[in-house]
Amino acid sequence: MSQHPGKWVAISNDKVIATSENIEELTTKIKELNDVLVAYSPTPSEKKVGYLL
Amino acid sequence: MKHIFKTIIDEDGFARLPIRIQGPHKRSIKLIAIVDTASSYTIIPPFACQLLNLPLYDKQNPEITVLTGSGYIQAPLKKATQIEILGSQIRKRNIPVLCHHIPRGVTILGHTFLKDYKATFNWKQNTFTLEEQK
Repeated sequence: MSQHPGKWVAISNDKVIATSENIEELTTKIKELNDVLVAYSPTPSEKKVGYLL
Repeated sequence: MKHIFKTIIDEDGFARLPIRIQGPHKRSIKLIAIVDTASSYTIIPPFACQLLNLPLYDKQNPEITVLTGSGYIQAPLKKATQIEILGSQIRKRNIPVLCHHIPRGVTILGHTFLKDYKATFNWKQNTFTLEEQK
């Protein structure tokens, strides 16, 4: 997943099946699929930003 | 039987758990969730709520108000058919989930999921453990 910094990634059966720069586009790509792992891969600078949840 | 899930705490101090959220009609999606004991609710991104077509948790109260670090927000409260910790037998059915956008698709496992388990952060050994106690 770290090979796609700044992108949304969809993974199925341990393989990247789709990527996109925005979640709306990725959602369209996977809307017919089931049980897909969806995650955002942060850029190196985004990884340095802390959280206040 | 006692079910246990144990994982490493990430370098940034968060315990991230792989989860499967199931909606009606056996539709499911997998996400990576941050354990947040300060969050009353389990929070999932709106795109996941839409993909799973989650129904409202309470039709009389479609939205609830919650206090965040940025002030009060209103967000729809939906019902997930099941949330499961992948790689474990830990699962819970008919969970209220807040459908709310947090940047980077952050997903939160909050009190509504955690409340029935023993959750232990071992900061010294960088491990997080979730135990079902029957």
